Amino acid sequence: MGTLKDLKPGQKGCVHGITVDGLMRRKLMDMGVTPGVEIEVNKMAPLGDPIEIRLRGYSLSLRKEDAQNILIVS
Amino acid sequence: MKLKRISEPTTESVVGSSVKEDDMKYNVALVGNPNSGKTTLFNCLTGSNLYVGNWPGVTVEKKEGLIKNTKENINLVDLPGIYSLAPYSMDEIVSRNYILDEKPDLIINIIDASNIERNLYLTTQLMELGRPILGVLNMMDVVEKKGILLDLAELEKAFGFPFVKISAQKETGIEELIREVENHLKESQLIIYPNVFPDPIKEPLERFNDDLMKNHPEILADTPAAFRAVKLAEKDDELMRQFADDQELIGLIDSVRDEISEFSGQDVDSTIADYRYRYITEMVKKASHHTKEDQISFQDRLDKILMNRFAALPIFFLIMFIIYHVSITLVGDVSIGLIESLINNVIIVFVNHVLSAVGAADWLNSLINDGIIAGVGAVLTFIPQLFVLFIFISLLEDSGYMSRVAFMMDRVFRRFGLSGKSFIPLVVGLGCSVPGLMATRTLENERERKLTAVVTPFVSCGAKMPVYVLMASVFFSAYQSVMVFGLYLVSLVTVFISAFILSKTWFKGARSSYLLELPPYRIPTLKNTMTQVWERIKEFFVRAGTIIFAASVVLWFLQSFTLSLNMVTTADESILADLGRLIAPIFTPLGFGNWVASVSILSGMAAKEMIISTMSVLLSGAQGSFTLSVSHLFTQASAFSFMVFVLLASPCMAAVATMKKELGSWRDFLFALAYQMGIAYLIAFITYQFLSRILG
Repeated sequence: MGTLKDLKPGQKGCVHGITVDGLMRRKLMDMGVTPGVEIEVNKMAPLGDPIEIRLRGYSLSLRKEDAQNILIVS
Repeated sequence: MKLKRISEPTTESVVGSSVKEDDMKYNVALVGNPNSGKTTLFNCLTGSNLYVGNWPGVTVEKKEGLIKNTKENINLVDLPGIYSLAPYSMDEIVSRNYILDEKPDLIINIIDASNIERNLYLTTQLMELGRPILGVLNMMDVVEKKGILLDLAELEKAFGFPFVKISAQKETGIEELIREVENHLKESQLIIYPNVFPDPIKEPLERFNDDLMKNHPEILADTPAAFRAVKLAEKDDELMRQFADDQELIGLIDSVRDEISEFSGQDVDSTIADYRYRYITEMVKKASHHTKEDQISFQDRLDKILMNRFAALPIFFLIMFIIYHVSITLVGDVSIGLIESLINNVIIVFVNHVLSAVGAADWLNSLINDGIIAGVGAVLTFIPQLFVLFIFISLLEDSGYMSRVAFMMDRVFRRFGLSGKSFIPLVVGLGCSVPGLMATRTLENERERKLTAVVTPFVSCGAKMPVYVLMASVFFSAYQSVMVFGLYLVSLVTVFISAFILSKTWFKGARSSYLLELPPYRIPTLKNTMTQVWERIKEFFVRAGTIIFAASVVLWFLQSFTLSLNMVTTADESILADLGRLIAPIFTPLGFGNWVASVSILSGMAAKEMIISTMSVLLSGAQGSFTLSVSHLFTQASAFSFMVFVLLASPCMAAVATMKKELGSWRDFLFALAYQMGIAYLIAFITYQFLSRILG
């Protein structure tokens, strides 16, 4: 099991859990990052960070430091 | 599915029945995610019957309008675009409180059908508020192109309220939507919607609610049971602050939380969000049928170019430069001359003809020519350029490029204590600081939000542009657009340096955060762009006719009379000149310590367009053209320093008032004002001292 940060553009995985508490956790869940959902990394920003992911049929962008807190099973 | 309905014990129904049917005014709230097409639908439903005002007591801009093409009297209220009803941002709190307190007769929940799962998340929260809901599936044209069929009956069965399909952009399904709204207005009962949670979560919540009813009937007494139980179980911040001391209540909450966590193996917040999505995923699966593989190749191809590692930043700066070059230089070259000649050769000739025909007195002649026409006309001259600038800003906002720039810039912005999301208020601020300041509300972190609000006015608003255009054309005619673009760079540098310093000092602890939806690229529609541009331009016309008109009259009076109220022979003896000379020494170190420039800066506090109007009024008695008179007031160095000062100094009154609202505390507000004035003075001082030594 790895984190979302480890996925390369084009790779997919399923969310296993979020390892951070507080506002960011709640925000991620509101945006649909919940256990079991499939996430594909679409691309990185031109400067390498943040990353763009696709889930539930839409695109969301987040920083790598936050992606690191999302556990993924490939 | 049959819905249980409980009649509401408020006086509303009693009042309603005593009033004649046709006098009934209904309130309908428009709620939905950002980017779901809310504004487009709002404009579509209300047409030109739109006005903007303020909530009583709440510092949020509300948009209201009467729905057209209906016999009923239906007032549509546009609430801020939100992803959830959790009270993390001001927008969310405002929407939640509006629905709970004002009890709208109907909620129109607009749902982007091409992104249906995420959009329905908010819906499951709205359902708990117990008001009648009408689901509006927007962007059906996009969905159908993707080959997805949505079964409305299945959706209604799953969520307990009816749905209609529309495309707000293509204006399809609007008639039907209005008929549906009419049909559902009369249901003023409290509605119990299907519970989205499975029994092991639902039952503890129900038992918890029964305990609440028994022991704490006063908590959220007015609200539906489902909402109350979930909010308390989630330990809603706002509620917890009120009941922090109630040990018995806390005990109740903790026991229901334990029960839910034990079942799910996660904490309560996650469980509730998780099961909302589980319900949605299951129901959407039942209601939708895919007939084609979905493809997003056009979007990706466009992104490959615009977000390319090497090309992205150059493309962005090129776009910004083109915007300013086209609106300032290309349009300005044609329009300024045209409008000036229209004013001088047509309007003034006509007015003077009338004035001499009726035998008007000298002072009236002077008031109309040197006061009103000079003042108001100076502003109107720049309308075509602002018009073009606003078209570009609106295109940036509507196309989806703006979010991409936020995505692209986050890494840079982060270094300065901001986030990529701060970019959006800054770009909106290019049009006007007031909506720019309001756009800071989408930032969740309080300190980061305030920090962005303090630096947003450093971005030059549209009303300041005429100053640069005038000064650049008089003093730097050979390289106008470079000069003006250079000013925008000064403003950008000031934003970043200020953010960096303030995030380490006054707003210490502002940890920036970033989570942003990237909406698909869309081709902006002509109608939508024009509506937005007209809204903004109208503001300028209104101000030209009111505040600038009035101020021009006052200025004319002050510059036409001496302190002993005799008419002056030259403006130098006037009250205004005395006043200007009083404050002029402040600006001497900046190079423009003359009374005309000082008075202009002062009157610019009312509205930034006044700076040009003031100069125009004050110099109208002078020999030669306006531009010639201006050229005598400044040197190249002091002209640039003047532009820098105008650019950075505190914004107009409207923006200052908005800044106070957004910052909340007087302490932060006064600091922000002092900081903005201080920085403006300092940088203008350095600019002048430096340039005057090179340019002489």
